[in-house]
Order: sequence, then C-alpha cells, then structure tokens
Amino acid sequence: MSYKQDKTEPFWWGLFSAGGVVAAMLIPVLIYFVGLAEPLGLVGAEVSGYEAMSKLLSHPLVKVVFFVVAVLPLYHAAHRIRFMLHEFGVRKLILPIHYFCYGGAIVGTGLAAYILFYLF
Amino acid sequence: MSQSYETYKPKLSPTWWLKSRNYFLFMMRELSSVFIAAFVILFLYQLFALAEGKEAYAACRDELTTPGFVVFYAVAFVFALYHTITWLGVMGRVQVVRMGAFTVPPKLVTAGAFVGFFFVSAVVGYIFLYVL
Repeated sequence: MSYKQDKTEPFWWGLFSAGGVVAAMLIPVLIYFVGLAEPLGLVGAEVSGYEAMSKLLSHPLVKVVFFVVAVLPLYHAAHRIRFMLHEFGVRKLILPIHYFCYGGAIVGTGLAAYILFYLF
Repeated sequence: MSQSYETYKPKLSPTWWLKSRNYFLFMMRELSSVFIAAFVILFLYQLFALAEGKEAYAACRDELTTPGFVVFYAVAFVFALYHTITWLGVMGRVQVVRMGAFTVPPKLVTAGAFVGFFFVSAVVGYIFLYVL
C-alpha cells in the first residue's frame, strides 16, 4: 500500500507550534486585561477605555504584536480543531474539514491585517 | 493469486475521552484552542470598534462587559491558563538546549519558559496599568 505524503503539513504544523507559544505567553494576560479586570471591578474602566486603547494602537510595534497575537493562535486552533474532529470519530470529510479550518484562519489573518494596518 | 482482505477498522465511541482522566485532560487541552480562538475573534471585533471611533467602542465595551461575556472570558481565561501550563510544561522535553558539550537540564528549560511567561505577563500588566 502506498501512502500519499502531505508536503504542506510541516508548514501548517509550524504555524500551529508558533501559535501555541504565542497563546501560552500572551493570551492569559490579555484575556485578563481586555475581558475580565474591568467588569470584575479589579481595575478602573480607563484601563481598557477608548483613550488608553487608542494610545496603545498608535504605536506601530503594538500593531505588529497584536497582529501576531491575533493571527497565530488561529492557526494553532485550526490545527487542533482539525485533529479534535478526527479524535471525536469524524473519519469522513477530511479534506473539507482541512480547508474549512485553515481557510478560517486565513480569513482571520486578512481581517486582522485589514483592521490593524488599514483602519488604524 | 491475489487475495483482498477487509481492512480492520477499530470502532471508536464518541465518548472514549470520558473514560479516563488522562483522556479527558487531553481533550480539554485540545478544546482550549477553541476558547483561545473565540477570544481572539472577540478581540479583533473590539479593535474594529476602536477603529470606528469613540461611540462605537463604548457600545462594544457595554456589550462585552455583560454577564454572559464575562462568564465566557472567565472560562476562556481558565482554558488559556491550562494551555499555558500544558504547553510550557513540556518545553524541556520538546526543546533540548545544548551549549557545546553541555546540555541544559530539561527542568531548567521548562522553568525558564515559565519565568518567561511571568515576565511577559508582568510587562503587559505594567503597560496596561502604568504606561497608558
């Protein structure tokens, strides 16, 4: 029996791995400051307020960091969702799932680039 | 003479991962990525609102600070921390650091990764709390 080798897999795996590192390092603290700290009353509303966030986004380096933080975890998730469906017993539709997962991440990349580098 | 055999296909129950603690934790680790991706999409939405202007951003903040979203953020935070622990926890085994003939002890590499995590978190916290 011959196996067809997927030559693109190392590329996707590389993005998965990079996304894993970025998510591990930055996502918890970001969820805390963006989503939790203010509604729980742990910091004032000004911390994630319009002025503070606008000031933050005015720095080009922050835009690049936010782009990386937003985009790479999408590829990380795409890879894991793809295999998670397989682990749940979905053995058909392998190719459509592949395209759906990575396609979604590519759309997300475009959106992030549009928001961070065009709108700002 | 060629003979064809039926391929053995093991049957997998959809709940196999509930049958052992380790399987369950493995699935939770995989699931963490879904919450992280959902957070990232909400974050992009928030940045989009920010670009739209002050009123749009205020409306977005009002929406994202409703109890439903706060519960989501809390759950996502726990999953994100679990991802951090599982991802950085195996760093020593995944990334062997060699300096000439000397191999850095894997435990030290793992510890270094966690020190890096706390350092990065502290820097981000400092920026949010004191610089802005």
